Amino acid sequence: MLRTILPLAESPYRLTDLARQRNYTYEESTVLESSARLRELGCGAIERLRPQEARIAESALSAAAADFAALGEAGAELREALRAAVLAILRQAQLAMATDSTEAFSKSLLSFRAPFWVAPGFTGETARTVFEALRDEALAALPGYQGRRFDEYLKVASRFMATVAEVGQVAESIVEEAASAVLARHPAVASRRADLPRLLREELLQCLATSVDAMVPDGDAQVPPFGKRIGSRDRAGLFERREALDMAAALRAAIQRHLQLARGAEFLEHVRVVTEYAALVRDAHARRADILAAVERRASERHAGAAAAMPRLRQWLGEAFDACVAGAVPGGRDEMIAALERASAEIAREKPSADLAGDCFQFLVEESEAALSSLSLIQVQHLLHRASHYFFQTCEVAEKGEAMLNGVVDRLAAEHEAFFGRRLGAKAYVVRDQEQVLYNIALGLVPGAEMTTVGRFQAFGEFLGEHGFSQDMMFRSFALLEEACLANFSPRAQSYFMPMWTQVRRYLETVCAMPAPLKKILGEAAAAVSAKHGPALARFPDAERKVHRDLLALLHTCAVTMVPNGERVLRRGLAHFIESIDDARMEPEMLETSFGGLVEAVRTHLPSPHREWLLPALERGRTMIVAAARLAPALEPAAKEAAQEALRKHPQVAERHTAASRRGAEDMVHFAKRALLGIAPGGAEWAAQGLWRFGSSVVESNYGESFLPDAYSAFHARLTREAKGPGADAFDASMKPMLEALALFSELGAREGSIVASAADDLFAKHPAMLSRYPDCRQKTAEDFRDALRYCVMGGVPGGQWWIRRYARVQMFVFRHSAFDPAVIGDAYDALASQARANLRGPGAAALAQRLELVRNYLVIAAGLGANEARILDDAWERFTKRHNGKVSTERAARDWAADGTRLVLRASALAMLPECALYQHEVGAAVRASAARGPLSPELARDAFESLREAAGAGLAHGPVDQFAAKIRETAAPVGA
Amino acid sequence: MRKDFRKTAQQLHARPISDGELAALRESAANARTGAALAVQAREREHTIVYASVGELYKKYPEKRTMYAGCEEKTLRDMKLVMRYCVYSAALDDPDYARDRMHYWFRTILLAFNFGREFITDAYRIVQKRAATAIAPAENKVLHAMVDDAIQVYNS
Repeated sequence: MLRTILPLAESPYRLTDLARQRNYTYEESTVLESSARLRELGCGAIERLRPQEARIAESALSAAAADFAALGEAGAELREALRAAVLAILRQAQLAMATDSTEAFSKSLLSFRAPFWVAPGFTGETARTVFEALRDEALAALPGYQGRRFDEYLKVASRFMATVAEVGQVAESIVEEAASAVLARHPAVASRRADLPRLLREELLQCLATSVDAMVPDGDAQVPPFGKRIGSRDRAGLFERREALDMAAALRAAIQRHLQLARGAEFLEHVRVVTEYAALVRDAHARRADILAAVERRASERHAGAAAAMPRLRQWLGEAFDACVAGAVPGGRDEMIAALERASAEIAREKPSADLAGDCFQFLVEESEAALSSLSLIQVQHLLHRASHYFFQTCEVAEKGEAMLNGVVDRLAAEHEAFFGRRLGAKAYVVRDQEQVLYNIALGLVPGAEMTTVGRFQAFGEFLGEHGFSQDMMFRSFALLEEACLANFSPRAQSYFMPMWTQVRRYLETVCAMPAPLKKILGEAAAAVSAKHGPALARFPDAERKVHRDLLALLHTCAVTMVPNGERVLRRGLAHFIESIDDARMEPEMLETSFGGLVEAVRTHLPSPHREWLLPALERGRTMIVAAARLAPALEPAAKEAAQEALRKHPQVAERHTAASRRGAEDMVHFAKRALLGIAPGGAEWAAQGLWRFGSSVVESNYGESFLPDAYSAFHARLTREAKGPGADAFDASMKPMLEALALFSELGAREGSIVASAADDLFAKHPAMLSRYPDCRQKTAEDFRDALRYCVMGGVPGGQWWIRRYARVQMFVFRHSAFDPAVIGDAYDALASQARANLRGPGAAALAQRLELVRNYLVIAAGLGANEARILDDAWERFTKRHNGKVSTERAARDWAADGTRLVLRASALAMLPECALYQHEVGAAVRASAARGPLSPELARDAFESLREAAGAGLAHGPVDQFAAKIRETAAPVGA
Repeated sequence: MRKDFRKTAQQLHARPISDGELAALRESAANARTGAALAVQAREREHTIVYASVGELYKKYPEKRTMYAGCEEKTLRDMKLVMRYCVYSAALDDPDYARDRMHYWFRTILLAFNFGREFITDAYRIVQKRAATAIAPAENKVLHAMVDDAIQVYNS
């Protein structure tokens, strides 16, 4: 159930599409090489499998012979249909590996959904038996690493076909039950249009089918077309918002009742995404015109000359809104970014007023917040918010960039005449490069554009690092650019731009400092390898060039971690490195010598402060590589032995689960590779992502509470015994918290249901009126409790804090849109914490209970703010103006500044009640300090505005740890005037 | 995915991968490996190759330099782009990638500017000549083939 560290659907075509018009980076070149290696392995797999494919298929089908026999004549038909499918899937998997492209493989899998959806007697168990046997046969026919890579394709096929079988058999009942529930709650549906009940059933079925389709390797791409279908002119208005929301809830409830999916977590997650997206598309379609009209009205009220600019702005606003809705699902992100970039290119040409455009995009966010449902906003608000800043930043660059950058380059040319005098078009190139840096920083704000922006910075940085331009000139150009941005950009633009620019500048300066010592750095590291491992190196063709290439690639890829989101690129590069190590079994000592030599050479030759900026990432990268090389030979044997040992101890698991030993061992290998990646900079988040997926499916599964902890402890013990030396400690430190979390997830698998049910019983015994006040109250409470428990488990894992942060933000959002009584919220989470304390016993249980208490405190304050935020803000302003009667300007600028600042501080302080969210407190503190320095109030008055806020919050909240919250407000605002 | 492999995929429901298709897949994997190595070399030497090529081109056709404002700078920019797309195609071992995303579109632009087929062909023959001295033979072979393809499209 754990995914490979290299996503199957990331083909070199996608990488090349992102490279668009620029050169490949070093890291991308290694990815291409790794892809070529996979293709070679794929060709080898064809050679081995092709002659025996009939035998393999027959053997796979024989595993389910009893199932077919039990079905009589229908069984024979099913067997023949499955034979065709098995053979086709086996061949498509070979082709997918030999081309490193899952496009045709996914298409082929999807073609089997319809015929097998309704095939009589095709159960999940039959599908699993056949396809797991197919995997066993293929693994037996292919050697070690080649077999494991090939198996990744069959694994996806097996999961997909099992889900098709399980869902298909009960699809009609699920749809019928969900449709009846919706029609019973909304009788107007049937009377509004005669064919509406039929269309409702059709749409529910489409939701179900799309969720299944989303399980193929290119599955993300299946969701946006579904959204487009239901968002089309003749369909979008069919159902009201409330009806659409209830359709989503009813479908999920019916699935829970009808399906006991053995490995259903992934499918259920797709159902959630697809149904919520469907509700968003409907909601957005219904409100779009009103939102845009309100934006236009507000823009006209604020800006006298807005009317002339509005037609174009309206178009861009509409496009931004549609793009964000499309981007709410992962498969729509590319479309969203393309649309935003298209609009941005038009803005760059037409140069609208940044002030007006900035206000319009801000209004778009505010009006959307007011008009869309909470569920829609959870999906789309962060995209709208980021897109609005992206457009505002783009408008600033478009409006002011040309004059500003020409000024920069003229000053630079005057100081460096020799360079600019002899180079063709040098001025134009510098202006273009700097302009691209500005636009690229803006694009970096958009979720999903991370790899695009980092790739562009990296290509630029590597170009600078190779061409050895005068370091003085380059440093001066960055200083002049920063100066110009500070002088020209508005404070609003700077609040997002400057923190990102600081990181980008650090990276660009580091790569510009590299050319001078580069030869020495690479030379010394390579010499160390030759001296110690010369004879071993001589065995490989072209070894010296490869060592040089790998050193350079690691150096540059570690450097790019200085750029926002640059860690993602290093993580991808290191994931490929882990796979290469697994494939080629590289010598750990040789890797230690070469990359250790690189670290030492950088420490010696790269000037300060660049070496201090670069070394942390480089050292962690080196540690991860060495640990991977040490573990590689032990991984598979340790996993196999541990799985077998645990199955001996828990024989019932082997009885219940097909191929339990093999599947258990392969999950352990992926688990260990995730833990390895956890050592790399930013890798902990990646490791946590895998753990979240794994943990969620463990909770849904029926392994029992001690099988997985036993198996993984045995695995860990074996690895610790086998792998000693540098890197082993780092690996251990990365893996231990993951093991603890896995043990908790296993415990939740056995007890989550009873914890949640008992907590809900306690709550509703105390507040019985809630059950009648809110529809589906018990089901929604149970879902909230489940989320809180699982997120709190993730909170204990390095890199897992993201889940707590997301949860906290979403809850704040929900409370703002739907008023909840803070006292009830407090009782609810008290009940949950006490049930968790009473029922969970594992090593991480005490920490989990503590985290739940912190969450409880936060939620009570957030619920209090949801009901009282506006009142507290007004009260704060009143207290402030009263205290400084006559000294405070009541002009819009002062009021706006105080309203923005106090609102931000209030929310960040509430979030900071959770330690995982402390970063928001620091970010907001720094942002408010920066804007206060240029704002309409003196530092003393600004400080006092936040003091008034603290008093107002203390007076306005009646529940939860209000004093603690008030202290947080003081902490958050402390940087102002400091 | 390459067009011919996509066609293979459509037929796999009925038959296994043939010997010819396997040979093509093997060759393609080997080309992709060479293409990955080319990507590193081309990037390091791109500026030298293109800068020298543009210099040689306008020395041979001085009258073209003044046909449009900033002709030399724009040629430099466009030639780099063409070369990058040729490298993309080499790394993917898929000539259609560059054709669909660059060459067909760029042919329209080039023809609209009336530079003439001889000048365009010569420009990219010069790139091939310069690349032959700057890039290792195995890698240059795949680049040469992709630039040939570009010339063919621009002349079609």
